[in-house]
Amino acid sequence: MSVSETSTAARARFETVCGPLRADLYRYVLWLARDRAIAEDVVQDALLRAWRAFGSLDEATSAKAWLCTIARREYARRFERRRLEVVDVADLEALEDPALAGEDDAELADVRAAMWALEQDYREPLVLQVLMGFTTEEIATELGLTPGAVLTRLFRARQKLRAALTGGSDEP
Amino acid sequence: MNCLDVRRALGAEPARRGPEIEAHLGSCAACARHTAELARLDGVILRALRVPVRSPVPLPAAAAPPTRPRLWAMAAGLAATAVLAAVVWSAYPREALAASLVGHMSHEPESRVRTDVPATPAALTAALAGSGVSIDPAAPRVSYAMSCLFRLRHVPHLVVQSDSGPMTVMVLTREHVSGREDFDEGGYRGVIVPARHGSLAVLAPTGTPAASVDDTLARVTAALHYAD
Repeated sequence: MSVSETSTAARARFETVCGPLRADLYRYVLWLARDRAIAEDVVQDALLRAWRAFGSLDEATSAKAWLCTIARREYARRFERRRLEVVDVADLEALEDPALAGEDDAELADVRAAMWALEQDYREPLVLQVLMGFTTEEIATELGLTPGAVLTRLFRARQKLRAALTGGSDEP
Repeated sequence: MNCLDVRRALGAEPARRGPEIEAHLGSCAACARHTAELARLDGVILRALRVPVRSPVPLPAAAAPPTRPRLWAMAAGLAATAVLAAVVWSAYPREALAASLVGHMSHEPESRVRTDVPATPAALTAALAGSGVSIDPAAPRVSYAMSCLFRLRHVPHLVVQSDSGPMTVMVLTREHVSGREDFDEGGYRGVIVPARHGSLAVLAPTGTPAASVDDTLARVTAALHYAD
């Protein structure tokens, strides 16, 4: 097989493997960044890095975790420092992306608002589990935590969401 | 397992139910109701997380992955890549140049330190490679040099020491401006001016005297040499 054929095949595989993951990858970064423009920039750069490093991806089945890792690092590298400097709880409403707020379904809007208010330590593992379909072990690897710590955060995240949505206690 | 154990386990992993949990749920109506509530909540969470996506982020242009460095193959694909890149580039939503520059400032904060240590000739060479620009390294007191991805192109990113502190210089040979643009946003004061090829930008923290920015701009401009 010639090099050009190899490149064509690699490109086709990249599009097959990574193309369908773009929407959820974008949503994942959006829930990290809470800003559409930032999420689009981060995913754009992450896909570029992924394409450049595509030769290092051996198993198509690990593509989702691989892409998430790239995007997460890209987000941290580019924006986390700035976010830590500017984000304040009191400013959250002002910074909220309209896409995460109003919707015809009031319950969805309430859940999004509650998700929005969750601390990142609780929100991110929940997003990885529910949206991205990661196992506890995969989340632990992605976040550099023990599986036990991930379970605790997932449990607490749901507790907090229930409490926020029902106005009640977050006891189980 | 008691009720608390079951609720803790399902609260972390609603989909993972071992025989012990199933047995408890079969005999505890309260926990069964709680589990049903959790399942419903997870369904709503999933729907909430799936925010509408206006259009998928485009895949990057099909340049050959660098993991297989075959020069002749890369050269053969260059023309097609350039055409595709131009198409993608023209479709890419562009923000104001000043906003892009300010956004880029968060990338390498460690570069903006006061120092008397100049960038090495090797770092300067690497940063300027392919840009069609060379610089007299001594004159503008360059302390940092990097080739950065900026608006989908690699551009020289320099930090120049001045009496007012370090200033960032971006050599934007493919970004054209019609005239001088001054800006002060996002914590940075800056200026973008037309250059022999493209433009040149200098950024410093807000509050830096405009005269110092202009002085750095003048020193850098005098030290840059553009290939024809």
